[in-house]
Amino acid sequence: MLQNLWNGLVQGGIYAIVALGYTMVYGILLLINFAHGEVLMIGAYTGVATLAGCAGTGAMEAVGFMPCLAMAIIGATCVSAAYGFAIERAVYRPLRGAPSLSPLIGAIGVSMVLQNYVMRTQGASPIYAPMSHPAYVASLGASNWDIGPVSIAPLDLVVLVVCVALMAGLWMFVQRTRTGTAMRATSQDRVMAGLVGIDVNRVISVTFVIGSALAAVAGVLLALFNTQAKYDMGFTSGMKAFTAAVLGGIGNVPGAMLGGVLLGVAEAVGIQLLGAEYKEVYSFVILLAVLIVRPKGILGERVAEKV
Amino acid sequence: MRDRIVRLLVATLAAFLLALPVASLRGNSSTGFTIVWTPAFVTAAMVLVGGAILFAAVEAQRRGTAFWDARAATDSAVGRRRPCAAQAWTLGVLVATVAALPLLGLPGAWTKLLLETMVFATIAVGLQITIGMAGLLVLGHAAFWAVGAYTFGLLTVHQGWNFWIAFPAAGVAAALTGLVIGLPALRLRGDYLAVVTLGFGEAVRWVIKNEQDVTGGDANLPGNIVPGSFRKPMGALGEWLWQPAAVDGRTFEPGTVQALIDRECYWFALVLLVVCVACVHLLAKSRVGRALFALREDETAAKCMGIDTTRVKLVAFMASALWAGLAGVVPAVHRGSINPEMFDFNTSVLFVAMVVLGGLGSITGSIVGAALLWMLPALLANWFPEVQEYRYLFFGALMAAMMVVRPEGLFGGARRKGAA
Repeated sequence: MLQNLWNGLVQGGIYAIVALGYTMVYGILLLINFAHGEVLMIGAYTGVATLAGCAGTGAMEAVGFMPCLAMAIIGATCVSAAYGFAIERAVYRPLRGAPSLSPLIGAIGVSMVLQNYVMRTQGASPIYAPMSHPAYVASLGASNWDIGPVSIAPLDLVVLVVCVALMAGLWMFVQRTRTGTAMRATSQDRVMAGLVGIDVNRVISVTFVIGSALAAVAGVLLALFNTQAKYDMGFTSGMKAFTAAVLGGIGNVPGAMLGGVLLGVAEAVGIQLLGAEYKEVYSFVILLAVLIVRPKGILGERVAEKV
Repeated sequence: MRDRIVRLLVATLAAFLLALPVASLRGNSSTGFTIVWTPAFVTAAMVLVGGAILFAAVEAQRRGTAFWDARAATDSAVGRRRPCAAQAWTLGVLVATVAALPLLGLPGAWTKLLLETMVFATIAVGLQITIGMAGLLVLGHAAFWAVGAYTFGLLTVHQGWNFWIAFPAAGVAAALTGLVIGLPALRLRGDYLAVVTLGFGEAVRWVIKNEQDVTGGDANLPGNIVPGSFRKPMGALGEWLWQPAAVDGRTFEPGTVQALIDRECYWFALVLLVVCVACVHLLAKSRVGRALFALREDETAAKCMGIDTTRVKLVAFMASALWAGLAGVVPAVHRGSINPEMFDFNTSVLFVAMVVLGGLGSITGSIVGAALLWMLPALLANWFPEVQEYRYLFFGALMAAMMVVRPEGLFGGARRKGAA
């Protein structure tokens, strides 16, 4: 039981940083960015390809696993951020101000394109991270630590540390920096923010870039967790991350973090109590339950409809 | 003009640079990094060509010569301005022709293709109620199709129900499922429905996969649980549809049996489509239909006019689900078996693409959309087999491009809304 809770906590950390991307975009544009999961998947592909390439060229033997992982994460972040920026520029910006159905359909179209694009160019079978490489075994492949009934893998710790660091970093960025303040202002009232001199287009671009970068890190961690990257991984993790965002209160940054962790733990409890067969269904049931019981989410406030 | 060309070139360059790390870069743990240049160049070329077409379309629209405005074209051809009788005649002749096709020696492959198209058209016209009229996005409509197909299949296989009782039961089951799913989501902003139905679509697929004892899981229903019993004689039409090998004591050659099933199902699907179109047409003209259009244009305003938005949305959603459920019966009968992979997310997106391409709010559009998106790839695949593999890529691009250039679709009326 405790072991499952621990696994759920680690998994929940990943959900939380993906959920942040959904929630930030929704907070500003009131748009569910269906392509967010695909941006994650692209990050995962870039990261795993970089890791595998490092293993193949011998760089991993020379410098060890962790520098290669850092490089993979940086590479994935850059590529995903570029995709997030481009998607916003090419599809969402022309559709801003259109009836809300148009950007939604546009988003699902983009998601479809990216998923099939990667499937056709990289193949339908997954690509694998070099988890049997001696450098990996030497660093993260060490045996688990047993603390009471819980066995903690080194990778779990890396995932948790990275997730907590990212969340703290984002929190500082949103609360302390000028751009972060501009983001909060824009999400409160876009027109008013524009009138007081905030470059709204720039803020929205920054939001997409940050959200996509976070998704990329989550993608690489998720790929390590599952030892592989596959073209449809963004679809399922995107759905779960969205549930996490709704659970915490969509549009609310701390809510997304809380929601992610809670969802991961709830999923682990569900697997413990009801079996792993329906692993993919629990998050949907939780989503329905949240919408029935408390649609504004745990930390969300009901915002009056803007007319 | 120069501005457009510069933007197009920038987009092409961007596509090339974006494609490089994702499509061209390969990392291998034994050989290291390799770069395959072709995918990046092909991507850039596709973006260049596609972008040029888009710009030409936008330019044509700006000049008022919208050559793809199918609505105007059919209006002049069918005579929408002329009395209703002319339209009714055109429609009647069209339906009669389609109905007569199998008798005129339509090849089996074509019968099958047209039959599938009619099933998809039924679902697309039904989905039109939710997406086109109410303006709510549904991303798991294939799940209602699955609920219908499996309800029908389970009732007939396990319970031995008569075809004519199991058929409406399939529709009712789908509509009730719509009620359960829609109730929590539809009280809120419209876009929650998209995510809830997306999750629902996956959940249904997993339930079907996991409950193998009942549904046969991945091994199809009826699979090998109840061998041979799937095609039992069931009532008047059921007898024809389900066990044509021994109808009225006649026996058939193995080849002609399939032809007979094809033909019976073809007419059944045609009748279903016609009834569906009639119902949706009447709904659009009714009080509820008007309320739905009002809702699509401005939910807040509609609420202020005294429309019970939750109830109206729920009616629309359930009606959509009902038609998908009824349409689910046809593949179950025609194929003789159903499996969860038929009802995956791609299928749901395909339905949305049909509605979007045809035009939001247009019934004709949905039928044309279904025909284009289902028949065109199937026909092209005769010469270029790889078309089928790339079609979802194309559908996605089509949906996004359609939203940017012509959100009202081929047949949609000009109902554009100003900036909110």
